[in-house]
Amino acid sequence: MRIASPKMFILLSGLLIGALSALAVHGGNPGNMGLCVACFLRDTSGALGLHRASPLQYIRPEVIGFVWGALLAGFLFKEFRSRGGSAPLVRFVLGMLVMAGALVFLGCPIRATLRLAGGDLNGLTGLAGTAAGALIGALFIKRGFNLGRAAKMPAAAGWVTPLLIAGLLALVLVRPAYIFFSEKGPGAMHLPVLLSLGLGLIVGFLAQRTRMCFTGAWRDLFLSKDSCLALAVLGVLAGAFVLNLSLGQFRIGFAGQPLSHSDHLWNFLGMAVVGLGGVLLGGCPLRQLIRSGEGDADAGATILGLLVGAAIAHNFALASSPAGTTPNGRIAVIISLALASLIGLAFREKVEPARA
Amino acid sequence: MEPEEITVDARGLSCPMPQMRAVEAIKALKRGVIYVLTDEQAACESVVRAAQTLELAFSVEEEGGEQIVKITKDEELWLLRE
Repeated sequence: MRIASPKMFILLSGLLIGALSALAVHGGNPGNMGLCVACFLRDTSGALGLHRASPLQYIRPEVIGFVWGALLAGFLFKEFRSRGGSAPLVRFVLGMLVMAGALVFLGCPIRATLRLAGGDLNGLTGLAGTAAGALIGALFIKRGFNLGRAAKMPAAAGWVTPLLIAGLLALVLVRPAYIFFSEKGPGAMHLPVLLSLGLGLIVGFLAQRTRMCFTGAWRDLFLSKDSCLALAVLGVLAGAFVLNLSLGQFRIGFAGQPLSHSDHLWNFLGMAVVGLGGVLLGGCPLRQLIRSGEGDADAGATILGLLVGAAIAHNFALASSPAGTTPNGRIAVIISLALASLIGLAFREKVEPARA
Repeated sequence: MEPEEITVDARGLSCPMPQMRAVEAIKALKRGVIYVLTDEQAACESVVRAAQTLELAFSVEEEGGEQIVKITKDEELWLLRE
């Protein structure tokens, strides 16, 4: 199935997703957090009790929607394929590093875009860091970095992540006593469950169709001057900007922005970890959720890494707060950059001559 | 010189490897046909985009969830553009 004008479709999807994100903030999600995969997984990790930061605990139904929206698109367009076996443990570790970096900045690359669209200029620092990290990742790829091929797997393997995620939906609907739900703070700010789920489904569906990726956008610009994915970023930025303006949610500046701090160096470096890790993983946190919905079991391993990374970030006091970064967080960013670079150097596939 | 043929097996590779391998092969070959095997639509599209960017003729065949992108490179046309 070919879409008549893929570039236009990507741009329009981005615009819609940006606009929906701004509406989600209007409807109850935390400021400039209409959509943020890192934040949503962190809250989910807290709800499961993996960390005990009491204001950051909620099973975000958007996450469930992302995966199932992609699954739906995958089946509708016959793109669901069970596959895996491309260094899942390394992907798990990279997932942890990416989350550590994201929680020093306070957001994934989507939130960096949404923050900028809401006037939070720290978003610019975050996007610059993402781009710098992606550039380093692109250099590793040029040198032959490769985590190895994924292989076809029995259909059931591709269902593991979507079914685990469906279990989360059951937990947020039933709300058993052992699941933590924030009573105040960002974790208590959310849309009604079904709206969140619907929003997630739409975004998941569109992200699957457009291959939207917030680290791939930079990578493709650097490696092949391909601007397709960058159009999605621009679309999200513009869509959220227009809606923020019209909803009175736009306020420009560095200081006093929602769930944001202005430790510029660490915002930059934290997001550099995300950019680098995202490129090594073949996709940003959103793309990992989407791929897991398409049957990619390795993306499932990455998601588990992101969840555990969020737990570590809060249990070890690595995560920043609006008050700023923590000493542990700054050390974690350095360690994460070093480890991700080490992985970038260590995993090289000898590129066989192209002749058949 | 006889036209050459190169087959690039990009199945199971993460993005952006399929596209990069395809472009490497296109550059390595003077004149002939490059077949790129992919096993997911997203990878196939990225290879097609590369062929479009380089203004090369291409066609896509799909079979059993796998795609074969056939790209034709003509040296004279290529040199004209460079």
